[in-house]
Formats: sequence, structure tokens, C-alpha cells
Amino acid sequence: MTPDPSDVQALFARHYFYFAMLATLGALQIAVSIGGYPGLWVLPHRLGTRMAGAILIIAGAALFFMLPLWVDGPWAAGSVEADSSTRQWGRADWGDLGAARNVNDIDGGLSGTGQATWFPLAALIAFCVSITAGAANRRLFPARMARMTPISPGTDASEGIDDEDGIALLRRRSYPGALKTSWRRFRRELPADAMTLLAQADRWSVAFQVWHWVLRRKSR
Amino acid sequence: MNPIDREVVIWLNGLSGNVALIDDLARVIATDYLMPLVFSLAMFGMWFAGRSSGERLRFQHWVLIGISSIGLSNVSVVLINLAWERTRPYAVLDEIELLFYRATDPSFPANPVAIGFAAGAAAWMANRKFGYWLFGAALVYGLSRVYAGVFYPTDVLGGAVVGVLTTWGTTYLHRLFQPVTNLFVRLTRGLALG
Repeated sequence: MTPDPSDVQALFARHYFYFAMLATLGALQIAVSIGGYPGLWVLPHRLGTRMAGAILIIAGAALFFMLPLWVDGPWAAGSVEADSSTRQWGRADWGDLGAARNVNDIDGGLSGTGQATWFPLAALIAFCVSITAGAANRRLFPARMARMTPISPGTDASEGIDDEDGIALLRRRSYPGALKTSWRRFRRELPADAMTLLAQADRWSVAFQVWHWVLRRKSR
Repeated sequence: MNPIDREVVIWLNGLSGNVALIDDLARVIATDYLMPLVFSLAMFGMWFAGRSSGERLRFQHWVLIGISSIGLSNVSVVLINLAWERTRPYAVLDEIELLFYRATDPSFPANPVAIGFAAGAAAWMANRKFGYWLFGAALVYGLSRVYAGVFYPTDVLGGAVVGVLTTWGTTYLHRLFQPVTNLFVRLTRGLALG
């Protein structure tokens, strides 16, 4: 009997979510180790964090593509062929693994929209895990984490950009502290920032054109 | 049908069936899950990878353009599909040994390749080396689908052109909506996310 597409879709969504969660955590770890934000590192060591990131991505992919060996799905041994509408429910064998996940979305595979829904959720959880790990590292290894400030804040003054908010603060603080400072500054500076950004906007900008039209009307 | 397209897809797909490991690798790369996730991870990672404020702002600017262009390249592919419904190689050529499921949408231009090249073009603008890696990944993705018998080489070429042109067009769209996107980046900084 061919599987019900809604059962297949629920299974694919769950497995894709595991894959996306591990992979986004891995990608985040590699990125923050490159950027130098210890407040989001899972390990109190730059190279270790980067290696952990790579391992997480590989583990996520391996888990996703090997789960058919242990979990029943539309990949029963012997039924895995290119045509995904004739699959049987069951566990795959090693020879079927390459094609097991090739299921058309009309037969229950996860569509692009489905992936676009699960990916941000996975990324959010990965970010929360990183925040927690970063805070734990600061608590458990305070001396080591204090030495992990690779770029001192404010070094971008030459670029005309103050580095004292946003994820840049994660070089010296854990996420809750960075959030508190950043949010306070955002609220304080929003009106001035909005006006500056509007004044500096490209001449293509609709908002810029409307703003200048209003200014011209006022000056008449 | 373009004779070069026909010859290349028959030749490349004809290589399948000889080494099981290569066939399995092509099937895994050709899935709907692996490479699209790689492109999404590239955009996600780039958001956080800037070493200085200036670099971070530049990366984040291109991430927003990259994400928008991924969505818009999907729309572009659908619009082109409405104008020209090209039948898939496995449905036309008897010599094709299908390694992938029977896709129901037209083959030109290759949607997954358009997405890959859209992300790659945005990444290339932010960091040349990283962009080349993504272009390479998108090309391998497209070729794996030609090997699997679901795309012609010109579908892959068309997808690449659509992806790059969409990113180029999105930069103008981005200028149109300034300073909304800049304010969005400012908001993410306020939330210590950017």
C-alpha cells in the first residue's frame, strides 16, 4: 500500500527540522568564531568552536540521510525507486539511502515553502542554544572568556561606526547584558538614526523622495 | 530540441549505473533538501561573520539582498514557466535512466540553480571567495540534476542567469526601499542580533 502523503509530510518535516537545527547551530558557530563573538560560542575556545560547528553540520546531514535506516517511512527496502509515488512504508537498507529522501512534494516531500517555515524556527533555537552556551562559558570559565576579546570595542571608529551595541557587545558580555544595553541605546537613538538614514538614503528611495517633497512644500 | 543539450544530457546521464557510489552521491546532492539548506546556511552564517562593524553591516546588507533575491528568483522562474513549458528530458528521451522523482513542473530554467546563483551572487558581492564557493555549489547541484536526468544543461545555464540577474535587480529594489532595510538592520542591532 502506498503511504499517505500527509503522514510522509509530517515525517519529513520532523526530520528536516532536526537537520536544520543541527546545521544552523553549526553554521552559527563557524560564523561567530570567524566574527569573534565569544558570547555565542558553544566552547570557550575559538578553534574548538569552529570545529564543533563543522561537526554539527556534518552530523545534521548524516542524521537526515541515515535516519531511513532506523525509522519507518516511504522508503521500505526494495520499494525505493526514482518514482516516489510507488513507495512502501518501512525501513530502508543501505543500498536505498541515496534515493530514500527523493520524494516529490505532491507525494509528501517537504516543499520549498515548508522548508522556509521550518528553517527560521531551527535558526531561532540554534541562536537560543548559543546564547545559553555562551552565558554558561562566561560563568564557568570567566578568566579564559575575558581573554577571548579579540578586537577591542570601538576599533571601528575609523569607519565612523561606533561598535558599542548589537552583537559586537557579545565580545565582552553574554546575550542578556548585550540585549539590555543595545535596546536602551536603540530606543534612545532611534529618532536621530531614522532622520540620519532618511537624509542619507539613495535618491532612488521612495521614502527619500517623499521626504524631500514634504520639505519642499514646507519651504514654499 | 537543441542538439547539444540532447547530446550532453544523454552523455552525462549515460555515465550513471556504472559506479553505485557516484550514483548515490548524485542522488543525495540532487535532493530538495541538502543544497537549498546549504544556501540558507550561507546567508544565515554571513549575517554573523563580519569581523568589524563595517564588514558586518556590509555582510548584513548583502544577506538581506540575498534572501530577497532567493524569493524573487522563485517568482521569476514561475513567470518564465508560464511563458514556456519545457518538458523534462526523461519525458522526451528514451535513453534517460531517471535517478530522481518525476518532477511535474517545467524544466527551464532550473529553479534550484537560480536559487543557488542568487545566493551566490549576493555572497560574491560581500566576499569574492565565499561567493565563488557558493557558485561552485550551485553548479554542482545543477549538474547532479542533469546527471539524474531531470534537467538539460541549458536549464542549468538559464537558472544561473536568472539567479544572477535577480540579485542584480534586487539591489535596485533595495535602493527603492531605503531606509527601511537600514532601519531593520538597526532594529536587529537593538535586539543584539545584528
